[in-house]
Amino acid sequence: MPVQPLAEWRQRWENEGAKHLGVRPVEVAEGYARFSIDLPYGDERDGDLDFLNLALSYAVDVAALASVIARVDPEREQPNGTASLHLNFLEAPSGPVSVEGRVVYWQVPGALIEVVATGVDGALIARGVSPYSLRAKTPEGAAS
Amino acid sequence: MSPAASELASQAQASPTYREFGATVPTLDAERAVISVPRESVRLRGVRDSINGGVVATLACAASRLLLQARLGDEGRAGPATEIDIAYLSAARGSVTTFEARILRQGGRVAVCEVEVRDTDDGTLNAKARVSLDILR
Repeated sequence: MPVQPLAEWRQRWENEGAKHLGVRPVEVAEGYARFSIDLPYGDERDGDLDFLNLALSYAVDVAALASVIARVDPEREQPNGTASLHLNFLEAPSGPVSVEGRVVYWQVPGALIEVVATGVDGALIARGVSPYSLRAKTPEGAAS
Repeated sequence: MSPAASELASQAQASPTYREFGATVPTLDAERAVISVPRESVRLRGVRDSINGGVVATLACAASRLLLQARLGDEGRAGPATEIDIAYLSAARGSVTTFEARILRQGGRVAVCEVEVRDTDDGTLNAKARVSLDILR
């Protein structure tokens, strides 16, 4: 399916909650999405392990979902929801983080998304996979 | 709740993450930690206006860390989550969602917790997670 124009796509993923986490949409292609996390915050959030986990987990979630939306054929399929997530947190980020979601398998009713978070120097921050549930549409357009 | 657990819960509730979600700690002892989150205070939404899946994963990690810290007391510090495996079973759309963590195994350097995420309105299980954490000595 055609991917949304970049400016439109970015606008879709921008909101106050994401901004507070420093999570920004960066780029999109078919079956692929990349977000960034602007770290450090320069305030008390930097010392809160749960908050860093929050920024990473949220960015991973939206990168996975955005990669699915950038792959789905709206005539034949529709997203149903994230089925599960397996994520390894490998390094604590010390600066900006890039989070990529990439569709690595696609077959209704299930897709598999690979998510990778890296630091500015390319250090692996987190890596995981997320199975995603899809629904087929009938010829009339309703999801089966 | 013991005085030590009560103090730990108060510290947690004052942290940026708990404040972000209006999270409270109704239960904290050596066996379990419960975090309670009103959905109306969560800005980050997911499918069908539920709590975003990344937020659910984070709060499962936070409940695990809180429980581990309660168990460690002055003998160590609950470190960051190193791994999470979470199954999303239904959209977290209750007016209040609870995250209940229990220990599966606590070793010298690593602990593994299990977390159940439930809608407190009707008890529906929204997600189940397994979280591994470092123990810092």
